[in-house]
Amino acid sequence: MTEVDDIAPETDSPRISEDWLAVGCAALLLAVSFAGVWLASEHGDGTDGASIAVTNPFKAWLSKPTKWTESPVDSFVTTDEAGATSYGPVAGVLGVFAALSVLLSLAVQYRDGDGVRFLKGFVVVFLLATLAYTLAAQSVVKAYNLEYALWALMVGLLISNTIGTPAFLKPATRTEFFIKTGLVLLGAEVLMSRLLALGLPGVFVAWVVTPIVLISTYIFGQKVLKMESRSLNMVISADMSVCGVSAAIAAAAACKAKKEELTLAIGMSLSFTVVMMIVLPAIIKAVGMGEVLGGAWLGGTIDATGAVAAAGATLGDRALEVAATVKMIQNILIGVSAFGIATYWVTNVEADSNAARPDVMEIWRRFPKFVIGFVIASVLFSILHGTLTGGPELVDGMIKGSTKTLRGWFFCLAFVCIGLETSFRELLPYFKGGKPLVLYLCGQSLNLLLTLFMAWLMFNVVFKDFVN
Amino acid sequence: MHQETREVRSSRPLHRWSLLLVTLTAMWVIWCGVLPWVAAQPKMKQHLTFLDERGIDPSAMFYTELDAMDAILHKVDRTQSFTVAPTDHPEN
Repeated sequence: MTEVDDIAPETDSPRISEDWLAVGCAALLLAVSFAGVWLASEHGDGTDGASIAVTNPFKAWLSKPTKWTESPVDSFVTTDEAGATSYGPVAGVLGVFAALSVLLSLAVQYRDGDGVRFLKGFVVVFLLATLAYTLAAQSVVKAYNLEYALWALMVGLLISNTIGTPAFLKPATRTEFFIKTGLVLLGAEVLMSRLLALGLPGVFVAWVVTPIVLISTYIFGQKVLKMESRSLNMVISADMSVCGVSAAIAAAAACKAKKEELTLAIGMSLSFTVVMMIVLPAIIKAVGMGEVLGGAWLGGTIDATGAVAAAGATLGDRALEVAATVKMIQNILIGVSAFGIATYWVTNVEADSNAARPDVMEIWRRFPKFVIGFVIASVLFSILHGTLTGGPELVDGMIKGSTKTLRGWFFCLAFVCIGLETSFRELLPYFKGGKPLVLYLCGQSLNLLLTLFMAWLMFNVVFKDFVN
Repeated sequence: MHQETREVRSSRPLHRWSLLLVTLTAMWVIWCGVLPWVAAQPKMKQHLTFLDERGIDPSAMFYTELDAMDAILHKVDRTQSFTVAPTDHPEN
């Protein structure tokens, strides 16, 4: 595996680094989306507070294949109860293709002068991503938390491991670019105001336990298991302790993990999530644990956000609310985690043990710049959300109507590209000795115990009266 | 070794295409036959309806992808407190 295959920042670009290009593309998408929502919305006169009727003009033109049960055609053409046919989803998918193909081709042309070859390959990569999304949109598949990332990887792996990835697709397989752009878009969804949604108990469960588990698992992997790959160690630790696939993507990009390492971490996370979302509620019911405590435990331990909600709902509405809110607070931790991991990596892991500690300029040179874009997006939209008149409505309208959809497509495209560039043979060495599995199991066990203790302490002891 | 394997692969294009077609056929059978059948089973149908009614997408990657979060956040904002309001849960 060469450097080129790492999810790493590049600094030798002729015109602009890939990191800054990703930040620029995401910033443009965020700016256009927010401006569109701002201009299309009807602003009140302010006399009755934050009266605003939000409209996202892009919503109808940006979507992904919708949920289907009987026929995949329903993913693109829907029929309502009255029998009216809607081509909304197919128009939305075509809209995303048009927007991304123009933006990304121009970006690649500007950076590498390779826009036309990129566009030719991108048509097929986008079709494969659409197939992956359609596979993930089947209702039974969705019900078991088998996210699009898994199917995107599978679709790519299927091509690369059978007929081989055609040469004309190579210019469009820009995994790092897609991931970094998607992550900066994700930054706008990391709203700091959500942090105190559950008050201090939520902060303790989500923001105290999670870093402890992340750091402990990483140290355990290095000192006890002696894992050869620090980045694999870190990606699994982040994925298991923070919030599954999205945290794995951010951690992998921040610590420059190899694509195979991200693939392995996501595969393990999704597999264990399916088990945990069924087993944990059963245990909670069997021992007669309260809904609030059970919900907090689920929210702090099950990796995937959707799976947390599904598991919480089986316990009751209150458990669903607490579980989903704890997980949301953990979601916010992605930004801090990515920044912390990137800083640790450039100052410690990449530093030459024989050389002096890198100075500020060297740290800046090595630092993955997309993380800065991610943090700025998070801070900026948190401020807009918290201070602007009608800020929550405008920011939510932007996220739900456009940037969330585009972020999903960027990640889906990235996972298709990872699959297209990966051979099954290259994945096998990572299973050697079963260390990743042992790491995940030990880390998750610590997570389960520590989260249960903290949730009990916070919700049943310290803040018991407050909760009641 | 790697190059050798590639040469072996490239000398058997029919085998590679056959493998792809067989896999695609298997996927088609699973997604268009097996999974719709599973979805139609009463227990699964009940579970899917249960999730739909609550706005839960178990495959959501981030909280912004959960429709259920709207109601939860609205409730959090409304109570301006730390957790759910007990008065909204008379059954508790």
